[in-house]
Amino acid sequence: MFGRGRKIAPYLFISPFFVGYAIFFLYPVVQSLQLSFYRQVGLNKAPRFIGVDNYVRLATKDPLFVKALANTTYYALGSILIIVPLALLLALILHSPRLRLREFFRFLYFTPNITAGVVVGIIFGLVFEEQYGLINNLLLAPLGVENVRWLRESRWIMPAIILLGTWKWTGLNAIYFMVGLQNIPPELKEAARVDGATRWQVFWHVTLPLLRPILAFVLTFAIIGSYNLFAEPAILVGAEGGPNNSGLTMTMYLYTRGFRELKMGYASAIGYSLAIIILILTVFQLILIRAFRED
Amino acid sequence: MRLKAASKRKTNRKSLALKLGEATVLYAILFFFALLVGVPFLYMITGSFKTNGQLFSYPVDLLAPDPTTANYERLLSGEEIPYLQQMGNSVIIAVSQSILTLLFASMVGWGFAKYEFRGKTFLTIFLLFTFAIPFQVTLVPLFQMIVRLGLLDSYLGVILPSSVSAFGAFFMRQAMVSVPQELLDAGRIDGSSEWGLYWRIGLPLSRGALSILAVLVFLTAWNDYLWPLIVLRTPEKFTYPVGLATLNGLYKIEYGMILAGAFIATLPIVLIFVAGRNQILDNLTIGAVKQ
Amino acid sequence: MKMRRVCLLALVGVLLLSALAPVAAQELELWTFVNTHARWFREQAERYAEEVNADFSLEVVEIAYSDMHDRLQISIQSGGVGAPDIADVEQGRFGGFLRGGGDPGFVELNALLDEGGHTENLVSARQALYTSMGSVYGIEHALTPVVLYYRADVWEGAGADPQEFVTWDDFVDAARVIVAENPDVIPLHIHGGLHELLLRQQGHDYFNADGDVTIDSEESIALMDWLLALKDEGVAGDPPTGDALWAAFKDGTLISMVGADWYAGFFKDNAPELSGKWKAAPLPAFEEGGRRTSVWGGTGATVVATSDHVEEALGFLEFAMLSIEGNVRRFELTNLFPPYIPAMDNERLHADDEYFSGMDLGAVFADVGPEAPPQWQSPFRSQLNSLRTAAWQDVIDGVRSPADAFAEIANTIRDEMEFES
Repeated sequence: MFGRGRKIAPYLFISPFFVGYAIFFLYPVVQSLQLSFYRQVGLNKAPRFIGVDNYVRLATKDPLFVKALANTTYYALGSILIIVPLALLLALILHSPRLRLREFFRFLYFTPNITAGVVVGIIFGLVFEEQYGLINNLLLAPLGVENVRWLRESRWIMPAIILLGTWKWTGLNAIYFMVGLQNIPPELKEAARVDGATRWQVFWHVTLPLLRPILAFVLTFAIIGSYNLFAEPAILVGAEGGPNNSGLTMTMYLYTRGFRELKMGYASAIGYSLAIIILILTVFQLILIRAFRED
Repeated sequence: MRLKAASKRKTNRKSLALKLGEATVLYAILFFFALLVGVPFLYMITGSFKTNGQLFSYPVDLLAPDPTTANYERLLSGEEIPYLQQMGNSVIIAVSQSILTLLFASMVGWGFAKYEFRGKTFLTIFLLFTFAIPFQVTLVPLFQMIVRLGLLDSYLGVILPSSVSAFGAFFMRQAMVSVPQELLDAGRIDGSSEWGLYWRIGLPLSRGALSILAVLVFLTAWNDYLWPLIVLRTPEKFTYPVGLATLNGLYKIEYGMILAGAFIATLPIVLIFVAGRNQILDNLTIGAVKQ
Repeated sequence: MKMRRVCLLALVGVLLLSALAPVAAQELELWTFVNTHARWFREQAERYAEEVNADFSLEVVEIAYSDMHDRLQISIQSGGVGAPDIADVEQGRFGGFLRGGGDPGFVELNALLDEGGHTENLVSARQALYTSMGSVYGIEHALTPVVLYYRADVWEGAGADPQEFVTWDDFVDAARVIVAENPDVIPLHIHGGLHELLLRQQGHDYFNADGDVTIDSEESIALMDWLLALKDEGVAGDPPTGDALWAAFKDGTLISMVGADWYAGFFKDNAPELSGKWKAAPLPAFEEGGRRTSVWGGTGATVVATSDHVEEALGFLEFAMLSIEGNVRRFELTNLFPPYIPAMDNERLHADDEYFSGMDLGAVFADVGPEAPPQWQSPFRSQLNSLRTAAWQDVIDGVRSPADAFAEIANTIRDEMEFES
């Protein structure tokens, strides 16, 4: 099929991918940019050029967009602040020598991650149910805490989604950290111990700095994952985000404007805003991690 | 020598005593978190054997003391949704998507790993750059394209756009770089075609990476919700997450039935992972971290 | 070489598998989001096949409310991909189909209704909900008269007779007695539609006849303030939704429901064990001699324009929805009171209803039906509804004042109207 021509072979190898990539990714990316400068409501309606109106409207006259942005940021910060330390703790424990049941724990912690978002959303509907739910009845009631209206009161919705995120992602991140820990040469730690460093000092000055690449990886994916969040909250509180739109994430907002109200131009502008935000955050985060380098 | 060994033993004993208390704490943490992770799953399973009335009554019971299989019977009878067919759709879509992604990714990875050609550097940098663009950007135009191509409500409409994975391309390139050049040279001397080299040497030697990528792609496709939700239009074409979601929004929520469906769909994936747990888990995470 | 062929075969196999989607059935498809409607449609389709058209077969598909409307809209706009032949469209969502101007993608029914002599048989205020610029696109299922459903054993046990309530003050007085006895009981259930339907009882609405937004009107805000005051007092409350709501009905926390005709069917489906304990009465009025009902909800059957079976679909709808038998049978199965005038005095609408303590439920609907207030359609109704739904819990919880929340909703919609004009 490719003959013996070593000259053309590479092009033949790469072309199926790049043709598909051009059609199903690059073209839509460009098309979306163009569309974001138009107003088009409905699939068959003629688009009308309106310049940067969609973007201006998003930034200045659309409280729901601002809310979606705030909610998503809340989720990203909240989940990272809980998940990263927790995952690191679990990884350190799982990494300790002579631990029994290591594989069992590792596998169990991983299972939420192979469960579909829709399924997770459905299960957590029962976990957070205010009268008959697991958290209120099994965790809070024994402590004498009154029923929390997780999915009804706007201020509790994001915490509920963050808890869901913690449940789903902590295990996977713990496994990432374990991989990082395995790659740290034990001699380094021993050397530090010999020098009289306490365990805490070893962790802080040896282990943590060496985990920096993994940390960067975990944080980058946590940020991207936060802005991709869709299935779990959409099932848990509905695609509009529930009471006061408190569970509305950026991707849900894009979905409802684009595929419920069929505002094609506007939804494209949301998509581009999202891309810019993710890009800025990722770059910022990578710079931050580099800045903490102790060299 | 002897002295040294004795002192070592001494410290060992001391740290062992210390570690006994410590170990209790560590195991307690591990088991507590295992409980937090496991209980919702347990509730999904037991809940699928309860009636709605039992789910919504006091006291909340993690077990199902009075189990019923009515939920499974109703779900699988197809009275509400054609659930078996929807799971079949998920299989078709996830398998097709895995095969196509593997083919495209390994070919482009092979091209990048084993050949020098004009534009290679440019294409690599270009791919890396566009890799950072989130998929949400493409949703609206991609949907319009699917409509125009007449692929709305078809498996192909779901499969094709997801089959070109830039991540897969990089992943396979990394794996295929390490295929020894001598083998290729020998193959060429034996008169093998370029395709033959890829097929008979490149692919078999990258089996590990291919299987990791296959698991990753399959899992993503099996669990995906957003894109199938947009493309698929009729219950006979839905994948199982889209089907389950329609039950969730029905005027009267049949929780027992939804939990039964969730359990049936999650079980095979978990079993696959139990069977190959250590291998898959090690490779999966290492593979993901490497990229 | 062998391997290459296998690979190609595999690829072709995959593509073939994808193409071999199940062959479209040669039957008509109908979408609805209400299980009681589905039950009735299925029965009507069987009758239609027996009595009129032996080739007719109808697949009734139940899809969740917002999901069904979203899907229908996209299917219609994409030229009918996966679209049904007939679809139930809820009046609150119908406006959304008119957005972007003009053609909603449904078959115009004027010819069927006029030539068949049906137009004057239908209640015009209900039909107005599915009419745009003179074209009628839907046939209403229900008159949707709102009544007060109540637990007869509880209210009568407390010495009150809701049938005798003249004004809402009477209701509140009796409710106070019950609450004093048992503080856990919620006499007035503030559900998501209560404010809207009580506003209509007063003769107002979220939009006025000219299509302007009026959710932030003085009357609207005052009504919400009144409901919140009742809640503070413990007379009204907002129990959870979904299955927990039915649990609250069953355990006796909820002892009344201000709801339309279709709610009667919901009771029977979801709380069969409460049979014989309920009754229904006209709504208390806001002032003596005032209107004793409202309208809430309502759904129109439409024929999708892209259907290949428009004639068959129209024939079936005429048989089922524009006949005395069809309308009466619907009441028997679902308690939807017919908006079809010739059916209204049929004796089968007045059978004793065991669930409602042997009452003649039809008589209550027929009694208040003529007082039903008008309701105004707007292309922006569905958007207003979703904004209102989002703000609802904060208003109920007192986190935001009704004046604030309603003003924000109204301004968002006004802004949207301007942006799209």
